[in-house]
Amino acid sequence: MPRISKTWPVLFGAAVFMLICSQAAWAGGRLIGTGGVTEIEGSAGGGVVPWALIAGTETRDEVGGTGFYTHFTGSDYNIDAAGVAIGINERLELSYARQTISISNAITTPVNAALMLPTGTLNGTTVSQDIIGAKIKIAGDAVYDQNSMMPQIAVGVQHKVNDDFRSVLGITGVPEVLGAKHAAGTDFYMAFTKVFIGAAGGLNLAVDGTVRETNANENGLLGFGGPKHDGYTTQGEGSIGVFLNPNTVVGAEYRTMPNNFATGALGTQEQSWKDLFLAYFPNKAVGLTLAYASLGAFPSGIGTHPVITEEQLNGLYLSGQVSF
Amino acid sequence: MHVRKPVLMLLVAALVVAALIPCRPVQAGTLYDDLGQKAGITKVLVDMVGFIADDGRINHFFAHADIPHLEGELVDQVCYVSGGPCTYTGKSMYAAHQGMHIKEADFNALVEDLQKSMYKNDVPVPVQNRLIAALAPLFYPVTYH
Repeated sequence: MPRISKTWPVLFGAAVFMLICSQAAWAGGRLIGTGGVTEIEGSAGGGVVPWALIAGTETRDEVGGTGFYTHFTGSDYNIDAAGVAIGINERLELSYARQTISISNAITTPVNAALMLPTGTLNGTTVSQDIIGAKIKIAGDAVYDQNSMMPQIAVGVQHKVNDDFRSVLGITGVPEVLGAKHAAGTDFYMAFTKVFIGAAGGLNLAVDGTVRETNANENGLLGFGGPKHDGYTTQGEGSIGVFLNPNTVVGAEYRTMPNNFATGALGTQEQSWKDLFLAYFPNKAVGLTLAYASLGAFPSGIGTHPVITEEQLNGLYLSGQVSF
Repeated sequence: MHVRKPVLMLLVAALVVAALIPCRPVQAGTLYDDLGQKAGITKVLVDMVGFIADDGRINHFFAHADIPHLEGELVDQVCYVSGGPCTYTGKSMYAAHQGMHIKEADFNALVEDLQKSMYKNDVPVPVQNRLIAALAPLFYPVTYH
């Protein structure tokens, strides 16, 4: 399966640079920062949590959209994600994203040996998935309803297809090797998002809580369902951010995982995803996010990987978004 | 080892958020005082009207407005909503915008012009936000009718 081309980040970086230097006159009528950024599955949100906000800078009379590129660097694996979304009348969001996890040779080499494959057969192992998403705002407004506690509420769906569930040769299908049951799955979520203007000592506070029904392992990169649990479970996700000014947000996120895999040599224990983020909107058309994220040890359950240190779970998350 | 991890991360997150909330007592004065009372409010709103006049997105709404009268009404209203000793005697927000068909993007354009004016007049960001929070619910009576 094709990986996200190496030229993608370069092109994206060039686009962002040009947009920062322009005034992005085609941006829609929404206030800066109130479209959020793009989470790793392609939906408008934080870094790893979909919010009730609709993608783009459009108002209810306009059509908007976003494009994003995200790179996470862990010590045992990297994740790249890229995608596009369209926001229709600040009501309906349609999105597409592609994620690729690249597993380091330090992880695959022992598996390679255990399976008695020719040396280096599993080098450069990757797993990719495609995600098609839809989200609809059903109530409230995150920004204007400042005289009540009513949040903006949206419901969404993310249909995910893992392209590397099993390989042609039957040896590098990481999700199936780990015990995942399905190559595709569909998540359903409801998100509650509110900006409390001036609430945090005069600064604006953005809060999101999201409830998700899912059977995805590591958001689908390791397939769907597993030996311990195959059906849907309810997962909780949340983000909190403080606007230091209209252009800059700092905050934290948390997202639980189903943990469908069995323990043991070929098991991998999912850990909750967490991050501390800094998002910067130089203008309405550009959003840049830098985060320190912990997405867990997910490919490390393969084979006989040595004990994982805390540091190995953490990595830098960089994301860029262009909006109209 | 992994059990402690979420707890630690949450603690760090809580500390980061706490550190970002300015460490000072709850505002001593009302928003009216923090805006510089009537003189400060007047400067901000007169400058805002100036920015609106140059704002091609929305200046057509004010093409036939009596500007001194408009400025007076805006000052009275902001003085009133910020807790100052003023009474707003103009029309209701709904009635004042009847038939203008103001859209969300127009409303936000005015908010941006207000922000520009507040920055120009060195209104601190927390004070800016408190005024915007007080004015945000006006979105409903002002727009789409």
